[in-house]
Amino acid sequence: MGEVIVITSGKGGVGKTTTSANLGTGLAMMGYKVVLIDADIGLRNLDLLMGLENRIVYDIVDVVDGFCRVKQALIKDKRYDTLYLLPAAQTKDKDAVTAEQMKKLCEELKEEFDYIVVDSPAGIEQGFKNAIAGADRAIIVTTPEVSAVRDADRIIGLLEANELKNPKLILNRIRQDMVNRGDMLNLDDVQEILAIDILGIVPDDENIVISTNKGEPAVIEGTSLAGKAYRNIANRITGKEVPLLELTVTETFGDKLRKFFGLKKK
Amino acid sequence: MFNFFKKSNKSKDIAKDRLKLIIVHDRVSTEPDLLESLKDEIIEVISRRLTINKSDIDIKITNKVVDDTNKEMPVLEANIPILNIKGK
Repeated sequence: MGEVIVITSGKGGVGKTTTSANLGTGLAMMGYKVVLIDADIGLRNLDLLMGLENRIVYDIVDVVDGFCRVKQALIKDKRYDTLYLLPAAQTKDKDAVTAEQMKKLCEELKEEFDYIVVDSPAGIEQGFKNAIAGADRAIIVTTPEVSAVRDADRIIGLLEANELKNPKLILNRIRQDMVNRGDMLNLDDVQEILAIDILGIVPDDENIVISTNKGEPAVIEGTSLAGKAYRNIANRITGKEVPLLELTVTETFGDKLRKFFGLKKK
Repeated sequence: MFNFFKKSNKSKDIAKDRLKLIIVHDRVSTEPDLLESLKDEIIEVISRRLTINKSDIDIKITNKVVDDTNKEMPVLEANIPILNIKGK
């Protein structure tokens, strides 16, 4: 019996879809049977990040409306045999799939898959409520910015109101150089404000842009720091204990000089 | 006077202080029952010793600078006029 994990955030543009693509792929890399559900109906994007946009025949709305069977709509990943995508509809409204239908769909997929990763739309309206309807647990993605953290707090409240207790947090797009200068909220700050468990941290990494351009999740690539961060998080989802990623900044000669003379701001 | 030196000028500390304030307000305003149930419970406790009029009670959350920290904090304000002290 599989587990349904919803990836959500409140605020848009903090990396929900990127996180969904990377965690789903990361879990499949470990050999689990995974299906990614794009619940952002009307704004389909998970297919693009996975590089599967040209293979779509049916979508989630076709499935719940009974135009096709689930198996017909699932798109097999290019790289991993155990990974599938159920794409969103691009032409329908956010409420084209009801909460009840989502629940039923998740139950059906649980029979077949180990992990069902649901990419939720931004916002707190019906689309979000439908996306979380079938979930067993929730992951909240936020970035170290005031608006994203505030919205994450709203989402925590809404998840709890919907019986999704103990959501876990991913702090995305950390710029360690700014954290060191005191110009960016760090993990402790965000944890103090939101008071929830941390599932992982992901650095702001230009490799994410590159991998998005190519339609290949960064998690596949051995060298990128963000990819490593996502592999760690995927491991933690399965229950393994992995220490948090060390984010360090290479010091420039100027930094060293300032530090030597005690001028570096603490 | 020395608060000038104590006060952090890091922008992340400003962000943190602002977030703490706004989140308390968000939580109170998005949980409409919170203030009402708080009011009921306060009335229950106070009514054991004092005679009060339920409709006179004014309870709200405001921002105030708290003396020793010199920082703004969310403060629960309750104004409860006392009509009488209950006899033993």
